[in-house]
Amino acid sequence: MDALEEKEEDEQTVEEKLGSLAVSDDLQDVETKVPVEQDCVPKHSVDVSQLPSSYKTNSPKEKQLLHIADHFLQQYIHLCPNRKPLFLHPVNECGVEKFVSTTVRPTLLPYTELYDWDGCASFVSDYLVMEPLECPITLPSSLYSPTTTLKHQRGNCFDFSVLLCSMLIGAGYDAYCVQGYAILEICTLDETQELCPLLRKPPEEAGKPKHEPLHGLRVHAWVLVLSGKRQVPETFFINPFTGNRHNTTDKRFLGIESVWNHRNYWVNMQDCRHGCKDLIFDLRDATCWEIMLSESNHLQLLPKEKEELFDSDTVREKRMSFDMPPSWVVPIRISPRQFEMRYYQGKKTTLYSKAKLKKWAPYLNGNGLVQRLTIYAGPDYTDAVEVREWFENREDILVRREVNKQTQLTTDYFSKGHSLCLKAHTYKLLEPKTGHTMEFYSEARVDGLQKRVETATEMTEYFMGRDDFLYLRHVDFGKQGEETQRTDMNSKPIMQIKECFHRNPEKPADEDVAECIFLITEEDIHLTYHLKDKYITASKKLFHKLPERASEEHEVFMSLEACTTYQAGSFEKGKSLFHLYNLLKELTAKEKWVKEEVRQSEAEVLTILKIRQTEEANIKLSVPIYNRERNKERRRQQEAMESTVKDELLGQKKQDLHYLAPFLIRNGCTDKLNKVQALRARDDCLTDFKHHLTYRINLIQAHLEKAVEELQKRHLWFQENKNQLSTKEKDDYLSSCSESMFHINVLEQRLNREKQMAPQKYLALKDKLCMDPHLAEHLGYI
Amino acid sequence: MSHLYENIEPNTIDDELVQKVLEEERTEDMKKIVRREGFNLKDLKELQLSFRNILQIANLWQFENLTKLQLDNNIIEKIEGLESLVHLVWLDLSFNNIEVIEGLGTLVKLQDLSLYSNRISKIENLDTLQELQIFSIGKNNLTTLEDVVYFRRFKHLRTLNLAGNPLCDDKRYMLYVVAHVPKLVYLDFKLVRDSTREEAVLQYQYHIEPLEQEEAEALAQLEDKQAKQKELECHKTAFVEYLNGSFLFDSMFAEDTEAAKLACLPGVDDLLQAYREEFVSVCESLFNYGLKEHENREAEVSHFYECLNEVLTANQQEGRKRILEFEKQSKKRLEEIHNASSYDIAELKRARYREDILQLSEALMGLEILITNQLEEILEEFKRNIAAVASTFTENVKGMMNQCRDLENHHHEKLLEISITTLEKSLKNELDMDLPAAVQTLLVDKNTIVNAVNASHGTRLQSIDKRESDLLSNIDQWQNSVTEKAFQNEIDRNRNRVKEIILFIENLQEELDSIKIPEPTE
Repeated sequence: MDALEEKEEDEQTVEEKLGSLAVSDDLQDVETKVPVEQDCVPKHSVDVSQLPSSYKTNSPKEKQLLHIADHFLQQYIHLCPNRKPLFLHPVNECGVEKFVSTTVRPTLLPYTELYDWDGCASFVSDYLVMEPLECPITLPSSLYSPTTTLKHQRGNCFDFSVLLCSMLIGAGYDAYCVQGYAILEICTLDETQELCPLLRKPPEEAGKPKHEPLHGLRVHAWVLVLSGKRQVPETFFINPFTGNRHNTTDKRFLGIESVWNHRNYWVNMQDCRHGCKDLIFDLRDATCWEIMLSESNHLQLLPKEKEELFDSDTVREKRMSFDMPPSWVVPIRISPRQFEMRYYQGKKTTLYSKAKLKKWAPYLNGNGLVQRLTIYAGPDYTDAVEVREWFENREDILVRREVNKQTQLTTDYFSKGHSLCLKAHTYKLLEPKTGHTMEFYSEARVDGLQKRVETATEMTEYFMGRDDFLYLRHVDFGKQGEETQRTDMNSKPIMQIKECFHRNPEKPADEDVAECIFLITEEDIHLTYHLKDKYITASKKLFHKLPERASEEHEVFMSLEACTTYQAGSFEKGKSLFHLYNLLKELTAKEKWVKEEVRQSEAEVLTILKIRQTEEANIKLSVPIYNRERNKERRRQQEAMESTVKDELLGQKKQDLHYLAPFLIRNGCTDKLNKVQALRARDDCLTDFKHHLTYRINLIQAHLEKAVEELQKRHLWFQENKNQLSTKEKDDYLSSCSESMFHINVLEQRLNREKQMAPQKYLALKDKLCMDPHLAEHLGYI
Repeated sequence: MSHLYENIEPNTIDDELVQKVLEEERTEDMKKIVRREGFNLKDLKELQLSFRNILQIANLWQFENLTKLQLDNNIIEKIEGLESLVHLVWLDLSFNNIEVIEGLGTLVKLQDLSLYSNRISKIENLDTLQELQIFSIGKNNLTTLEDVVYFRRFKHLRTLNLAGNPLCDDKRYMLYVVAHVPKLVYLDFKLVRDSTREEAVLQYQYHIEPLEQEEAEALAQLEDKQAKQKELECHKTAFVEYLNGSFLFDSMFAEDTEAAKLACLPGVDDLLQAYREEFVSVCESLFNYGLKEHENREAEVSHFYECLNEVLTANQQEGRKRILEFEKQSKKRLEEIHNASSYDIAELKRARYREDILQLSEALMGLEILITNQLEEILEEFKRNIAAVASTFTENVKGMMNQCRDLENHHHEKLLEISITTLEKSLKNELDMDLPAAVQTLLVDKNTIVNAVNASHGTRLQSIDKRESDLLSNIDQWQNSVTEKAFQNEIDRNRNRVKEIILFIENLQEELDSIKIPEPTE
């Protein structure tokens, strides 16, 4: 009852705060009261020199958009004077005002993990380091592009949201950035009240919210995913700091001012007094959401009273016809290396309620550790109770290790495929005879072994799905040395073996053994059969073996005294002696076999321990064949292949690269040149080039002269035979003349151009030689 | 053929031979046991009688549980005396002088049969051996290749050996056999290759197709028949067999000769038609009601057994718990008695243990008395319920049968009316149609026709009465048997349990008595 009242009271305070939010007269008061402890962190500086020009300037369309936005803002302030300002066009990293929608850059990234929303959300939350807002209750003054955010791996809630939203829209989700208000823990990425998601088994306790002076005023940005696209059944929020999904009714989100995506901007017109739980997320509903760039078909749906918002027709025309310009941000790129590193500098630590979670990028730790969860007894993170570690890419396929600090027991978990089908191994020390519990992938084992528990004096094995219906074998060992029987000295003597069997439906119950105990020291064998239907006592047989020596001497070692039988509910004392004899023979053989099995099991334990010891002593990480970054061999192959392709395709380019080679060789140069050699090579090259140019000019000249000469000859010939020629021959002459004239013209032009260009080409080569890597060292100052 | 055995003494299987064979197999220990205890021939599972010059199979009937019998390398001429060995799985009759396959019809469990190296010329008398997997009939006198079609009937046959028969000389042999016995995996101890199979199918496609069609038709017919039989069985257990349809109606008239004559009277045809329709519809409703009631009865019975099992299981668990508790420490206590330091202590402990045994016995018996009382109530209730179900059924059946009788009476009146008017018309010669002579004889005077109609009515009523009484006696019988069975089961269970407890306690006491304790000190 108390808790309930408290809750109500809390809600009241929420309402009060929200009331003050809506009536922003109080805002200034509150703002003055901002505690000093709320450190105002300035945004990190950005090197803008490498950024493309779209970051530094606005296109005409963008300018027009900013104009529309300003107009929209004026209307908004006019109509809703009490509301807080909108986040419309903050400056970007280059100090240029950019409309928020154009900052969203939808991009689909080439990683399967980033195709679903949860993958994107957890990547963003892992990859970026959270920076608090400059002031927790006012909007940030700037909004950086998602590419810059990625590059610096840090950002505030708005930067997180824009990046995540860009990725989600790229992946096909109907996602929006949200500007709104949330509680302290959400805004400051404080998860110390939360249970670690890896531990979240019991229902979450409703932590008592502390009274907090800025409740309801803390600005936050997050992502809204609407139902519909990508088969999302229900609208939800994603908190970009944690990557967690929240229902839209979550009490921790206190209100929404506006939402935007890459196409448009909507202002929330609904009451947020009671948080977000009553909000309607139908963005086409103009009574709930005021759209900035209205689409023509929606405009007609606007109710009358809203239309007065846009007092002039011109504005409406503009709004109607204007489309959101494309994003000024370049496409988002994440290299495989960045993707693999995942966290800032490859690691990340999160504090949860009584638990600390550390994450590392794969291959960062030599032992393959990627995650460690430490569970503490108290909230001060000192008294560790349990440590859980996760590993990746280990060659011994260890995937998880749990250390219980209280019992000192370590449990290792393996994926399928470890030697002898090991699945889990619990131990104190990796030494023999210190107590081991090993679990196995029983379906992969021939003997169907599921689990083996070994202590100094006992061993119990559990089996699954065996044809002989065996499901348990329990062995008691004696102390080493006190043994009287013939066993080798190294192993502990076996005192007793008990085997339990499931019911075999093909046999009658009182012929189907349920439990078989070999009392090795007493030389007894106890058989207990399964219960017959409706019976309360089980049939039993008790054999007392006589030493084997007796049978060798052909003495009757089977007599009625050697066997006691109880046959449930029957006066008959069981089967004939003949049967019992056969049974005993069978059991004696079986005892021998079972003993061997036990010895084999013991040996197996030792083998596994040995393997584990060597594995732990020399941990190796494996690289999947598809990982190009890591797989050196693969990469070498790939590069070799690429270079051969290059050789074939770009032969010309190669020649070009080696244009100096003949001159270098002529001068007998190797890798390093001295100054004299360099100068000589240059001179040789230039001379050669000069010769080449003159040769070209001379050649064209010769062609020209020849053509002119020919033309003159023909002219003479025509003049002489003018009268004898037919009309056709005349025509031929004329056409050939004009052709020759054209040819001569072309040659003349080429000659002139060559003559003009030659000095320029010569100078260009000279410059080029100065820049040439081979010669630059010696010629650079010339 | 006796000249063949000039140098050897033909044998018959007799006790002496069997004993000799068995003796040879036994170890010294076993011989001693057998000498002390005797030997039960029913215990024998396998018997090998190879190379014994046996001419005649005999005296094997006592080895009821034999699963493997080897009679190879003898001089047997006729398969006989094996009828009672129904558990045989493995039978070897190779290297004998058998000419005809016979006497194997009862060995339905047979999986492996060898008749290698005999004188058989025809494959026959093996129809019942549906479990057959391996069959060897090589080196015989089979000549007709077409006979191998016989092997199609063995659905599990995987290995067949025919080598050494004249029919193997046929160049079609291999493909023909593979095509006609498609499930063979090994033929003449060689794996049948897929390529061979394909070739065979291709070649004998037109031989196989009609065979397959025939088999499919036969199978469909059989299934159809079985389904019908099953349905009828179901109707019979509901006691309403043959009530769906006009069977009862038709049978009523089948026994009635007069009715056939009377049917010729004008107007009777329509009357009969209407009567038949109504009667059949009443039968139908009786039939449906019967099926429904049958379900009810089954539900009632199964519900009872569910309750019974629940109670019994709880009781069984309780008893089991007590016994386990006792057994848990019994071993320790017996050891303590055995290892007691003096006679007095041992004696004291023994007495205490004995007392505990008695206590356990009382506890178990107490539990049994408790359950018996509990079950008595349940059984009485069951009896009442069953009686109620049966009597409702009887009432309703009677009601419906009365409906049938009413219909019959109605029909009778109408028929009488028609008969009399026809008679009158006939006497006045107003009848406008010719009637058969047999009918004419009835149209003499009123008495004759009325008698005839009455007699016909009587037979039909009798038919109805008979069906009714059959049905009612069936339900009566069911009621008695179901109740009796439940009571008898309980009596048996009680007896068994009491016996079990007594034996168990005795066993415990014996165990205690057999413990050696220190000698009393003087």
